[in-house]
Amino acid sequence: MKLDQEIIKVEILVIGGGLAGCMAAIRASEVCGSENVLLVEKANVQRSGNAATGVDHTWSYMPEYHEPLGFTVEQLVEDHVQAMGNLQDRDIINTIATTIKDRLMDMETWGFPVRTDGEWNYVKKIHRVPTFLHWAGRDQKVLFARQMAKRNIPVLNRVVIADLIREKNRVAGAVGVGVRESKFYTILAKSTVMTTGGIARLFPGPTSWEFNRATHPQCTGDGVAMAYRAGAEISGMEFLYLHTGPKNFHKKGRGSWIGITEDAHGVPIGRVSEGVDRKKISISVESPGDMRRIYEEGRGPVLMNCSETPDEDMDYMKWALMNEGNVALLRYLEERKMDPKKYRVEFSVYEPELRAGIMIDTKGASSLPGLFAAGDTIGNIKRGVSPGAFAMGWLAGESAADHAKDESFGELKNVRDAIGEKRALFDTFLTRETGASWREALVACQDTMKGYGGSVRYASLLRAGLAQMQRVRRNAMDSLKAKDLHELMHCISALNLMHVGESSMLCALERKESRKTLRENFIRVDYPEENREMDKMLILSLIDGKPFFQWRDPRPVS
Amino acid sequence: MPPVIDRERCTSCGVCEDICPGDIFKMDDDHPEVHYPEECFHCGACLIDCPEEAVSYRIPLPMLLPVYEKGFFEK
Ligand SMILES: Cc1cc2nc3c(=O)[nH]c(=O)nc-3n(C[C@H](O)[C@H](O)[C@H](O)COP(=O)(O)OP(=O)(O)OC[C@H]3O[C@@H](n4cnc5c(N)ncnc54)[C@H](O)[C@@H]3O)c2cc1C
Ligand code: SF4
Ligand code: SF4
Repeated sequence: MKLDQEIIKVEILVIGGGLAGCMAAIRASEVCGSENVLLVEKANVQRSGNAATGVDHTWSYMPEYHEPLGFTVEQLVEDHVQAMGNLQDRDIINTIATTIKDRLMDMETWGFPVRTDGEWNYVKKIHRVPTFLHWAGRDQKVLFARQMAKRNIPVLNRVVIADLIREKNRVAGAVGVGVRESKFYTILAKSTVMTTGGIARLFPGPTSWEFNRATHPQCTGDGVAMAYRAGAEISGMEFLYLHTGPKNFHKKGRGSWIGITEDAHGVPIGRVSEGVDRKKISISVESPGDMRRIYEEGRGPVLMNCSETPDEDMDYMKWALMNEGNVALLRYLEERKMDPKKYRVEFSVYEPELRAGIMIDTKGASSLPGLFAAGDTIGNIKRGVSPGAFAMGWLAGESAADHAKDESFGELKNVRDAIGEKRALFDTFLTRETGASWREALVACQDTMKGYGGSVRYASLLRAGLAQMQRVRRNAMDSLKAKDLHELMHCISALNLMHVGESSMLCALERKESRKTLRENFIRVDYPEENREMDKMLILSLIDGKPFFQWRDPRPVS
Repeated sequence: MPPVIDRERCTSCGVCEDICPGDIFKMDDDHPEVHYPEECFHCGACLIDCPEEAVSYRIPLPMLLPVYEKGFFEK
């Protein structure tokens, strides 16, 4: 099989149709007309990305709810820094906090059920007052797809973007391949918005069942890897984030469980028993450190006990899980008559994740002219999640449209060689008689991360890991074989994860200290103390193919 | 075989194949076939969107959820 060639020219290209990409495409189409926008999605926008079957908590500032509580936007920014660590750009948190109400209002006019029974249903999680808007978000991707169709925004589903086109010092579009049609796409664009979501599957999962992941397994850090290769600034790559949730049946949504997390002998985990309350999350369920400690102290397994949860709250919990991508888990519990009120459900700590990526300004612009980014693919803040995707997606779409007004298209002749090389590489993967499968490449990448770039890190180990990752990547490029287009998509993901892993180990080597936040640890065995001078964000970019580091203070609220 | 399709109920409308984020299904002779069962991540989209309620799941063995009755650890 060889790939047919298709060339597209469009003012604004949006890569990835998750929450941020849909918002970006909608806003860009408002500014410069839907005919000038193209959204390209690996799957189908209707049910793609981490919000495929729902996201139901959106942290936000709603003046009519929060002002009477005496709670200000400034306090929300402060609380977010307090909860998620110092190394975040306050100006981005502030931008989300001040604009998210408008996005929620827009979504309400598009038919999204952001209010529950006419009320702003806020619950308390990581900020001092209730700030997480809890709503029936199960079908928001379907509603986004409908909204885009209504506005005639062109969408190219089942096409995976493989690389950015770099022309001189700017980004001039991207190349991709069909997942169901044998086509190689060259897309020239004046502005490109990167919204490919987060980074899953960099490490082996806690079970050996590869796709059993709490985060969407198709979001493989493609955007971060593409931006890194193109020379954009990325940050936060050295930090490993840990999530917790039901053991073996890995799903995000732990904050929807209403119960007490306890050890095998019924002793609650955390400071004291926080009680059971649907209006606030149990802190212990958020704390991987506490869960690990329970195992290490010989008190495991860790259990979720809902036996004291009132029936009304059990119904609320099921409603919440149903709206947060846990439909299959609920069905499983129901079919096996495993009522969580009667049975304690085992919880565990999941594999490390990176919540890091492209650096943007408050308008969504990256360090490379012509490239914008939003959502889980950015590295400026932690736990931007859905509000970050809605708010920054909108702004990135707007800035991309504004930028396109004064920009010209790239010249194909300037970039033909780089594009040709990429196409030839994919043709080779598809036509090789024998070779390595994507699974082999992925396992080699994940094992390298586990062995050299995981929880135990120090200089010699990281250097060895970098050499091994480069070896793995070189050999993969020379030997990968894809039986079909579906496998080619996985080959692209595996190669991207290798670049993500490489950048993570490079940054870990550069940060010569150890530091702990509630949810992310950075441990260097050879530098066990926190170094106050490194209380800065570490920014990596490739210049002429060589890593270049910058340390800078987190930006204040502008 | 994570998603299992009930042949009696399925009308071959193609919705599951169209929306699956993992590209798990292929239409073979107009019938949805589960082509990449091991890649299903149980997002639930096919379960929710199938208009005929023809989809169910067989959860893979490594995903069995450990649950415990009251008093289990006191025995
Ligand atoms: C089960 C679960 C529950 C969650 N609950 C909550 C919650 O309650 N509240 C909350 O705020 N957040 C929640 N989150 C997180 C939230 O879903 C994400 O933060 C949010 O979806 C991020 O939006 P995004 O647009 O950046 O990425 P995504 O929504 O993940 O979208 C990225 C898109 O890019 C596409 N893509 C990736 N690579 C490529 C490529 N190379 N080419 C083309 N397309 C590509 C993907 O297919 C996907 O559609 C939850 C996540 C999960 C998994
Ligand atoms: S969505 Fe349901 S009815 Fe339609 S093809 Fe799939 S299984 Fe059959
Ligand atoms: S549960 Fe999700 S990933 Fe699995 S087959 Fe259905 S739609 Fe695809």
